[in-house]
Formats: sequence, structure tokens, C-alpha cells
Amino acid sequence: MTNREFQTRVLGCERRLYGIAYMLLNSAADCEDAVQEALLRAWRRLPSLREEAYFETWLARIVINECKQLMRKRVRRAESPLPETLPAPPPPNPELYRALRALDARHRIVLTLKYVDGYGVAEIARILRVPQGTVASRLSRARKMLKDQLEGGDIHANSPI
Amino acid sequence: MQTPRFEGALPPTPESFRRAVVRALQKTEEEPMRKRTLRVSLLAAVLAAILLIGTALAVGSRLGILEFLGQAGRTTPAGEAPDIERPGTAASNGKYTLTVSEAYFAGDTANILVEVARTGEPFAPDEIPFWGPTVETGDGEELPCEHEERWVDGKMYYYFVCALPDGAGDQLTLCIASPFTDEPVPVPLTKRPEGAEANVAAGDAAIDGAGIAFEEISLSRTALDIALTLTYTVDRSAIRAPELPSGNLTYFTGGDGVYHMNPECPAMGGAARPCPFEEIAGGMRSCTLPGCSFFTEPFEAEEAGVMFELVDAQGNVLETDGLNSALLLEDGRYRETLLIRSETIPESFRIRAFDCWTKYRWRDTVEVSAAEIAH
Repeated sequence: MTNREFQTRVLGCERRLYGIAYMLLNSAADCEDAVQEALLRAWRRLPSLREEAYFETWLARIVINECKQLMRKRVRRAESPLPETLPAPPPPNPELYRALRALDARHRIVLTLKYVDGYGVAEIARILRVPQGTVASRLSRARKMLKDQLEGGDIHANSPI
Repeated sequence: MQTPRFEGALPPTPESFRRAVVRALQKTEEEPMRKRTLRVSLLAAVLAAILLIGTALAVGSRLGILEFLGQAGRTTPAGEAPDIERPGTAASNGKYTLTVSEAYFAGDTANILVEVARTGEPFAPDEIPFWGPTVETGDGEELPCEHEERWVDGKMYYYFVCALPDGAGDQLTLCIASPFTDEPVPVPLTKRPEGAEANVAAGDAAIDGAGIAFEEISLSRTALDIALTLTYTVDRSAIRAPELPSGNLTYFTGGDGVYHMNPECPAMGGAARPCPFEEIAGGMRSCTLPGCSFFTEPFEAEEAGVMFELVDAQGNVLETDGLNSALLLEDGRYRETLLIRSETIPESFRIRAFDCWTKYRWRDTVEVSAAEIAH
């Protein structure tokens, strides 16, 4: 893959990368740091990507790893959790945003990957390096938790939840 | 997108993020992509390990921690390093203690067993993080690994089998990164001979019809189980449909539909195939019952669509856990590890191969007679 192709493919999934980083870090500035570092790391590691068809899931995993590093640094610096305020600009559906934020990271990330970023179960399994069965069961549980968070609202009436 | 309203959970992508992406991409133009050698990683990891141990000893000595831990009784000549017992590399962040109770490599794979305990109370199953430990080189490159997670009596166990890159050398140190420690933990690995711990009956090292030919079969005792490592090649053109019927698949709900899967199948990583929800939603519950089968799946030859089963001399199936899937090695061979839940290595057993989806199996094949070799 040439640098031009690399750039084109990154720009094609920019929004998804933002979604992953934002749902994990809850800070636009941290997202920028994590994704910048992840892109440089991905470029250096590109020869280790065996199948280009998996580029996006491979990149998503690198972004998640960078987010993990940032989260670890936060813990090391003993930073207090970020306040539950809405980001600027606010999301179109703040109620859903807050409900997602209320879930633990393990369940929030599968919902984000599946419904915000649109990845399939097999792709999520590849990104998180867990069996597909685990992804499916976490999704099932996460949807129930989200539904509970939304207090039985009808927000998912047309979704497969 | 099937659930467009979920998109509303995310704020619009800020312009500053886009600019940050463009800046990073511009940097990639200046920086050549490079294949890092493990040698550099190892050097960094070893240096990190030396620094870490040195610092810990210095601090421990200064604070009297070594004495407190009962080490003071050991007299060591001046200028000589104290004799440190190493039952396993351990690190703690106060809340959790991560212990590497086993770490060795044989040929081009590394085996590492990690144990995580919670300080003062049992590790609860619901606090298992969504990301577990990963195995990395000293400079943070994640190695391709398969792993088995298990919660046993208030502790979490992670068993890794990782593919090593070419040129790993004989002195190998890797790192375990995890949410349980603040920093990656350097882990020196010992070397074990490859494929020397069990032997395969002559002339019977292939599974007829599965396209599988075993090249190496080895058994080793781990702190958790007995590990059987199979290294094999797959000739796709030789794969034929298996002929012996077996059990049925399991169905469950999740994601965007109903999935049917074989949760025991190590080669597929518990893989699932989605079915149209409405097609089987009505019969879904009864599908989880034994003996229930709604579908007859057409057989499809897949290299990774095989699961193995071990049968002892009396015909009993040995209880095993597979790792997530077979590792595809650099040379095109597959390497798969089964963890046998037993304290003793059976004298001999046969290896069966199943098709993951249909659970139909090929005829019994390799007869393994095992003999434990001390390390």
C-alpha cells in the first residue's frame, strides 16, 4: 500500500475512528492525540498488515490500543473522571449519548462499534480480539443495559434491539 | 445504516479533529514505514526490565521492604546481586496483582500464562475488563496471539500462544500490557525444545479428508493445564465433506439477529453465522435444546473450519479448551493449542477432526503416545 492509498483509506474511515475514540475517551482533545499517534503507529506497522481487506478493523484496533494507553496515563496521573457534561458541539441525541456514557467501557465499545460505526459482529471480534460469540453476547447484554438506562423509552422501536 | 438514530449519540466530528488527522497523515509522508526488528524491541525490553528491577531493589532496600519481606536473613557477599527467587514475574498497581506464572518459547511460538488476582478480595467475574492483557515487544508492538481466558476461584487466567517474528533469537523478553498494571510488565522467556515432548505413531500423521497433515505434535505441562500443540498444514484441495454424524449446533440471540454457532470450536473462535431474524425467531428457544436441528448446512471447505477432539484409549473424550483460533505462521503452517483439563498426561490418545458448522467429523486418525519430558 502506498502512502497515498494509506491516506485515502484513513480519510474514508475518519468518522468511525472519531466515534471509537470519543466513546472511550470522552474528550475531543484526547481523541485528537490518540488518533494522531495511532495513525503514525499504523503507518510504521503497515508491513505487518497481511491482508489489506482488513485495513479498517486493523486500524480501529490500533486506535483502541492508543485510547487504552491514554486511559492508563489518566489513571497513573490519578486524574479524576471527566465530568458528565455534554461535548461542544452537543450530539443530536443527548439522551442517548448520556445513556451510552453510563455503560461500562466493555459494553459501550461494542454498541459503538456496532451501531454508531456500523461494523459487523465478525469485524468487531477482529477489532477487540475476542470470539464472535462473545461479541454477540456482549451486544445482547449491552442493549438490555442501554434500554434500562433509557428507562424503557421507545427509542429503539425500529431498531433490532 | 440500519439504526440511523444511533448516529445521534455522537457529536459532529469537530474541524480540529479533521485537522489533526491531516497533520498526522502529512507526517507519514515524511516518515518511511519500517519493519521493526524484534532485536530492537528486545533490547528496549531488557533495558526496561533491568531498570525496573534495579529501581525496585534500590527502593526496596532503602525503605527496608526487603527486610520486611524476610529477605534480610539471606547474606549476600558485598557487590553481588541478591539471589532473587523467580516463581513468576509479578507486578501490582495496588488493586490488582498480575503474575506471569509461565513464559517460554519453542520454535516460533511463545506460550505465556498470566494470572490476575485482586488485592484483598476475589476477582469478581463482572469486573473482567473488555480488553484483557496483550503481549507486546518492548517498543509496544502487539504480537499476534491466540488466548484462552478463564475465571477460576476468584482469579483470572489468560493463556497466550503467540507467533514470534523471524529472527527472534534465543534470548527473548516480551511485555504484558494490561489494565491491571500501570506499565507493561517485562517477561523474560525461557527456551524449550520444539516438538520433543510427544511422538506421533509412524505413518499416521494426517487426517484423511480434512486436508490436514501434522508436522509436529507436542505436549507440555502448564501451570493451568496440559497444553497440546499441533502444527499442521492444510491442503484445501484435499478437503472432502466429513461423513460421520455428530451433535447439533447451538443457537443464540445477539447483535442484529439470531446466530448459530459451535461455541466449542477453537478454530473458528466460537464463530457465528447470522441468520435472518424472522426466519428462525419462532423456533429459536427450542434450538438450544439437545437434539434439535433446524437446518441442514451445505458443507463448505474451509481451512479454519476444523475443530479437534481428543479421545483416550478407552474411547472417552478428553475435556479440552481451545484457544481462539489456529495461528497462521509466517511459513503458511497452522499452529493450534488445546488445553487438556487434566493433571496427568494420558499415555496415548487419538485426534479427531470435526467440521465446525455441521459438527460432522472425519474418521479418527493420529494416534499419539505421550511421554512427559522434564524441563
